Amino acid sequence: MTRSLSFLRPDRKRVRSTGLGFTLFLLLLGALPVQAETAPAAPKDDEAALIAQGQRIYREGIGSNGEPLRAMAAAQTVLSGANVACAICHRRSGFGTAEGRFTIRPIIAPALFEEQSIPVHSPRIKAQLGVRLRPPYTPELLARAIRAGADSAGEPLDPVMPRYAMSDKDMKAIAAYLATLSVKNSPGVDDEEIHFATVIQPGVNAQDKQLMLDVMRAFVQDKSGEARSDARRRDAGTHRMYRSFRKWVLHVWELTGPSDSWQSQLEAFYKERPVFALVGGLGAASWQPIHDFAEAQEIPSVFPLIDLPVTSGTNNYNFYFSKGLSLDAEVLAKFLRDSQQVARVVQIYRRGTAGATAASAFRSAMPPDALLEDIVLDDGGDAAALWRTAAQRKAAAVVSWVDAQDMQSLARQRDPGLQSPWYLSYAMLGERLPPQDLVPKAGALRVVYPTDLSPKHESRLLRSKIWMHNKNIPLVNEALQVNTQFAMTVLSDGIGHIMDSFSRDYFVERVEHVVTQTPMPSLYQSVSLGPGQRFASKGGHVVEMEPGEKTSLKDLSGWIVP
Amino acid sequence: MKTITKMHGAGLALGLACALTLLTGQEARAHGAEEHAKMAQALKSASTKADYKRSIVRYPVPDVVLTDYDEHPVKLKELLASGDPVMLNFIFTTCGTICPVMTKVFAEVPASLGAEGRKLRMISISIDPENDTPLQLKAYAKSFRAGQRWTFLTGALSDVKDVQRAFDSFRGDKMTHEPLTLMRQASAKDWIRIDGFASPDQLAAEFRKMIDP
Repeated sequence: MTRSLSFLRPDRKRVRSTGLGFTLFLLLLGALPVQAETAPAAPKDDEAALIAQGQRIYREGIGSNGEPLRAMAAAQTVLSGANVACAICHRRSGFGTAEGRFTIRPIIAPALFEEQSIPVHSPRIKAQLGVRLRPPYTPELLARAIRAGADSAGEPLDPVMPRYAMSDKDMKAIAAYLATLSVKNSPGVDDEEIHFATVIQPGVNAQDKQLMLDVMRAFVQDKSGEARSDARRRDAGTHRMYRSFRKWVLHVWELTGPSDSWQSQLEAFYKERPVFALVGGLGAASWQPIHDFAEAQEIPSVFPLIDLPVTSGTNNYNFYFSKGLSLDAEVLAKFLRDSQQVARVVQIYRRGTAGATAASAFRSAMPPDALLEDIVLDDGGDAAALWRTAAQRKAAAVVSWVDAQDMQSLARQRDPGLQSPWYLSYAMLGERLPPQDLVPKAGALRVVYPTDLSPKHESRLLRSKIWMHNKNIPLVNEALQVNTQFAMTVLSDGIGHIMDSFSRDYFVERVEHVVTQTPMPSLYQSVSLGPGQRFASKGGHVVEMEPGEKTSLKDLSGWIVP
Repeated sequence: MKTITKMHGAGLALGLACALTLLTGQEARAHGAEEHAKMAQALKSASTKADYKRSIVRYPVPDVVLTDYDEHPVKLKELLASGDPVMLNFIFTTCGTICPVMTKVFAEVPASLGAEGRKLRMISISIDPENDTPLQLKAYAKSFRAGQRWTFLTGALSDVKDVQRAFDSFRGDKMTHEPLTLMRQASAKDWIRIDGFASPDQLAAEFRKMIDP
């Protein structure tokens, strides 16, 4: 084994010439020794271990010996590890993808191992299926495809499919894993219905809850209303695509009590009614327990309407609008850095709240030599004293990570006036600007702002507002209502794209793709995702509220992507 | 804009022909003569396909300021006019199918060129600039052991789109991009455009031909 694989060792030895390199490669692949089979002691455990090994090969490109896999990729290059993990092209779902002119074929279990035996009479469909009709893969044919790049009919696979130097042990493991890959539908969907849930943390005000649910219910009504006559059109043979329509059912999962009990509440909800995906959601506390639940159960969660998403650690299933307050903190730090206002900065926040998260992210994003002082609000603390302290510092910037109520109580302190510019977060103020009468309270009133300015902003959101108008939904909270509608539209686009392949992983991969293409706007001026990306909006502005009777914003920064 | 196109594939065809000869023993034993013949035929047909397309083109370089992975502003026009021959490609760090190959090829080109590549400057521009922050690009460059003469650039979305349009590589969405390499002799007007996956040795050969026609 050592000798035969030496060519593929990470010793920076390169393939010298095109022809010879490939020749050697194939020669060495052929020379891989066959491993002796060991008699399994406990067949079930062994099978599970084998599948787990195969999953690691598939997702991470790490072989059962713990070494990165190595393979001859396109353009005569040898790639290894994550760059040749099956999942990087065929994706976690196995449904494949398309990139440029390359179509990556599905390698889910039914596509690989089942007989393609549906009798097809339509010449049009026959022509479409023609390229996919080939014998089922056997272990030997699979090994040949992986090592030498020929499909089960002997047709060559495109050079973008790497040719792997894979041991017999790894080959057994990957075959065992592929036999399980997307072999049946994910939970939350049956022949008639598909189920979704939205999660609401305790303490959310009744109006916000109502606003979100009204948009969701109007949307679901449209999806599942009898007006579509889907069932009858299907039975009449009008539907070309076999049974991809499901009636939408939305569940509302309202959490109660302390956050350490949410996990078990979510599990109880899920046990009673498995759902295919989570959509939207509300709450001012950290989203961590809901995030962890979604990761553990492998349930996609599409755009909760929150400020405290989970920004580190594993994230396969949780899509967020942005990094929330951490993004605001980074945008502001970059703005201050670039405009060299870091000499003396004061930040005010309330202990144990969202503001503390923002303050900590802000501190990490500021240069280490910046003079940054923290002023912490405590229950029953004297706002007047804090305001005086902030004013006395004569700082280049006073940053306050506070909500609308704390902002008001700080601003009520009249004396002394704040000479420095005063920075606030639009998100922390509940996606609202400070009132115009606060403008004279500081040297300048500035806001970290997530979206485009007037009049572009209004025209961009028009489509969403017209929809709400037509549904008799009054516009009360622009950010919340527009973003709810965006989340529902992305959910719908994603479900539409997977057709009758009800795999949650495949859905996640389609969401990565549809977000930039949906015509429905979100609050944010620029959203995009890509493979593995989980935060749709990646930047923000710093705007200044201009003095005068009417609210008018001046863009100080342009679009900042920290 | 003048365009000259040539097809390349002879090198690989020869390589595959050799490979087939050696494969004969192995595969025939494993899968029987009939199947072997089928596969031999398959590999042969693959080998006759061109693996890249070469053309000569003229592109005006847009006047944009991009950002390298150390967060320094970089005027693209100045970088390209630095007096060194350049190779340029477009990538993004979460791309699965095309970019790891393109980037690995760039990583190997200097060794393929040896001393002749001393003055070569390589540039990779992210086509997903909002996700590919300088920090992200730096980690990506490091994972491919990129050297000092290889610059990774990000920038404003609209500027990066302008650059892609200028080099006729904008395909509407990052997921519809194509493998592409551009190279230019120091201060030359013409670009050599390589569409498709050219190997490090093939790129080196094109480079030599460009330097010393």
